[in-house]
Amino acid sequence: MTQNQPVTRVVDILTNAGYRHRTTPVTVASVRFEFAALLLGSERANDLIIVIDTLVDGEARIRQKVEGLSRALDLVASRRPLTVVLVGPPPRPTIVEALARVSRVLTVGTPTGDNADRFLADTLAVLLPLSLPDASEAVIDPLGEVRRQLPTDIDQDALVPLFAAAPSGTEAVQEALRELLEAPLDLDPEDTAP
Amino acid sequence: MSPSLSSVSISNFRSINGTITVPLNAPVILVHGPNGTGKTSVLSAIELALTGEIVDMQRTDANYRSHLIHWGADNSRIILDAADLATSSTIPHENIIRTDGIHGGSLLSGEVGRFFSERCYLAQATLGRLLEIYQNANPREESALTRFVKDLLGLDALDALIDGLHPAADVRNTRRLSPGYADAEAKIQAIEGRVTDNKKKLTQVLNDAMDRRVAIRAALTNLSQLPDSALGTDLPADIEAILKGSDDDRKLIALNGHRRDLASLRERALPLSATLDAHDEATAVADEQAARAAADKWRSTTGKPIELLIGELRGTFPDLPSVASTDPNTAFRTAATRIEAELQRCLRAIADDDGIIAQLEKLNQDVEQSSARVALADEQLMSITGEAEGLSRALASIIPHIHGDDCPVCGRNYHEVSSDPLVQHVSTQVARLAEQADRLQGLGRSRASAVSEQSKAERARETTVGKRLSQEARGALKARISDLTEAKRRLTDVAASVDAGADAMRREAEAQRRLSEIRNRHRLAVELRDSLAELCHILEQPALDTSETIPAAIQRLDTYVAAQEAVANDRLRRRRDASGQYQLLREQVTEIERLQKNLSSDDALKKRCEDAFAIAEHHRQTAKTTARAVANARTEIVGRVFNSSLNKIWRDLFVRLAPTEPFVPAFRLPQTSTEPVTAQLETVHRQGGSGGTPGTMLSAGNLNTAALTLFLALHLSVRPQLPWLILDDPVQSMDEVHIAQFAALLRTLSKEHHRQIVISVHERPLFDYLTLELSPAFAGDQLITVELSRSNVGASIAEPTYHNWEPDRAVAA
Repeated sequence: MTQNQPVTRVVDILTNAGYRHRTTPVTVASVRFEFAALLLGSERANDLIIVIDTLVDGEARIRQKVEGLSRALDLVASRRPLTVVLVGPPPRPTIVEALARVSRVLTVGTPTGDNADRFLADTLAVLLPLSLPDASEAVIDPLGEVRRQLPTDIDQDALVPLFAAAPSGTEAVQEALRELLEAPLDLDPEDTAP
Repeated sequence: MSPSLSSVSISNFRSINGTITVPLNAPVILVHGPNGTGKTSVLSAIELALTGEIVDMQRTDANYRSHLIHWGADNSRIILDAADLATSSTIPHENIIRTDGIHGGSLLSGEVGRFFSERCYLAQATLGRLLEIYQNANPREESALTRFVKDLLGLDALDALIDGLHPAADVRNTRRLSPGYADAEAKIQAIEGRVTDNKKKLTQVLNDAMDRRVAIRAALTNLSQLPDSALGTDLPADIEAILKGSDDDRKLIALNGHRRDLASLRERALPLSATLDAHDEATAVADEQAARAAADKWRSTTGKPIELLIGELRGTFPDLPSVASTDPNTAFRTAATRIEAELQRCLRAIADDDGIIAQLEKLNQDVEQSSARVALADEQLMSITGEAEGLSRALASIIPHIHGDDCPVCGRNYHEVSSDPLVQHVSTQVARLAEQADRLQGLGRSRASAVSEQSKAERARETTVGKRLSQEARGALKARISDLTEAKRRLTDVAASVDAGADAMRREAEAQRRLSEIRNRHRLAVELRDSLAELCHILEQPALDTSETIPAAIQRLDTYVAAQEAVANDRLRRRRDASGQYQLLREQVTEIERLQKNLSSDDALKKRCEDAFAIAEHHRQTAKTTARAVANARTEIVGRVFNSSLNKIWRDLFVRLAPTEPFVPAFRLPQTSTEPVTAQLETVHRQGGSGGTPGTMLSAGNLNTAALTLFLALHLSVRPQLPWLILDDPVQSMDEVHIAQFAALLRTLSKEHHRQIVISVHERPLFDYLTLELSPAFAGDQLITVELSRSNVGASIAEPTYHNWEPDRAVAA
């Protein structure tokens, strides 16, 4: 069993996503299969993922292994959807097409450079949990955000009526603004210009 | 309400012929059927039951409702059973569609219905147009994107704040919004204007007052009444007393009096204009003596008899004036007049008495004639029967009683006496007696008249006798006439010398008068000189010397008084001017105080107003800052949401389905903070940097994937009001790789995110594949596949298959 670097990274990503790593070889319908790695879906998923290092296995061998596993699964009427993660140099398209007829094929290649992890995650994305926007993030507190944007020395008392009026609409805010502006001006009722 | 779908039963709806029932009570419903077997009809029936309309049909044909009934059927019927998860109760809903329309309403209310249409149900037609729908956001309308953003963010409050606080940014808008603010501004300006005015006025008045003080000081200096102690422009403390000072007034009054005195002296001196000297007086004395001598001579000679005569006449006329007491002419004329008058009186008395004597004689004759007539009347009366009248009446009354000649009185036959009838006789007698009665009356009247005449003449005679002069009186009158005639003669004799006497006496009187007059003038001159000397003393002028005439002295003093008056008047005028100036100065001082008071109160008022306005302005600035902060917050939120929510999840979804596509679709953010959300679609390269629009950068398949993932991203970005995803054959133009990824995504949404998924596909291999991929993965998980087909006679058939979880035997979990 070869645990080379790219395979390890794929396995790490998948196990972090909740997949369970199984040791190989694994026997299906009395047939032994050996892969670079084999992972099973979480408790709420049937996935069977095999990771193949194309540097280690030749194209014919890969095809043989995958098609064999597929047939074995069929024989035992397994409902596990099969996903093949190909690490290393991508095989010829005809081989990939052949694999795709019996499984979901994810060609990882040999990601390098700064975006290697990102590329790897993108390629494996369909296997990874879908992280939805946090409900609390989606239902945002707009006025809270406004407060964060305001300078710290802002006149908080003046804001109260404005913010209170905001849910009632533009006219309510305008009215609140007008009252805010005019309130201090009414302090001098006895004054009359000569 | 949070419903879950249980089943839908559809009759004669669109391409559904007959009735089919599709179970919906599983996490995943997979509907398969060849084209034309009614997959879309089933899904649109669900939409219609939930929302009352079919949005994508509505987009292309507003009249779509009339095409909903299956061809040849009378009506359509949709029965959708839902379950309220909260109460576990069943909510049945039924729509019947007839030619007159759709009956039964909708299961979901407006907002939730709209959420379903936009976020839960992806019709085939919508998928093709989805990018277009979200790209073409008209800022003036509530676009799908705007609705999405609002759903997502609840930015209404921020928009209200931005729009509501907008007037704070520009003071002109602030004034429009708040008349009070504008008024306060205007008021402060008005006060400032007033203060400027008042300051200008104050400066003016202060300068004027200074000028006026200088003028008053100049006047006081002129009046020699400015004390040395008064310095600079100060005015002496007793200025009012000084200005009120009455010296000049008194002096002027005195001068006025002197001038009147001088005028009076001038008037009195007028008679002195003729030259007078001692010679005049001497002549007058000589004239007077000569005239007196001449008069005395006349009195002692010619005048003497006249005086004597008049003295005699005084015996008769005691009140006659003497010559000495009057003048000869008067005495003479008076005596002559009186003598003549008395003479005439006496002559008239004699003549009157002669008249009375003649009258007496006539009266005597009258008395005698009247007596004679009385005697005649008496004689005739004697001859007439006194009873004539009564007898006549008695006889007349007898006549009716005479019948024949027998006398009714004595009974004798009258025929015995006369041949005439008795009646004739009595009648004749009656007539004779009546005639006598008339005559008797006439005689009586004549006699009475004569008696009256007689007595009247006798009374007149008695009166006239009384008027007669006695013999003594008559004699005395005649003697007096004689005396008077004599006196008259004597007066006539001396008449010639009377005029000469009168002339001498007149000349004497004239001389005396002239002498007296000359003496009076001398006396007057002395008096006048005395008065002038006194006046000179009073006026402190040189005394008169003998060579100075009175008019000259008067003129000299008059000139002096006039000059003094002029001086006094001038001082008075100056004082009056100074008083006037001082009065104005006092008014100006009052004005200065008033202005200073106004300025002070205006300053205070201005400060109050400005303080209040400063608070308002502070509030305005706060509002302005807040508006900016709100705009920034809005930008921040929108940016955050687009970047961290929508774009992030869209990218995530898109990358899952198209892992090899280097360009990823995204919304480009609004550029400004205040505009409505008008994000545009673009692509970004995975390595960074933006590409063109999705249409130019993506293949048709990936464009389809972009739309599909946009729909899912929109669904997932907002709080799921309905946890449903109903997809109508969304993978028609996908290749196998994409389909495999999409299947994994659907599984994730179903298993991990608990969305109930209803999806229709038309390809068998795909259907089989999805059946495998979406198989139940744990106990309780379930998949329902529904095969749609048609019977030989064309009736729709729906055949559901329930897939339950079984532990996997191939690879132990």
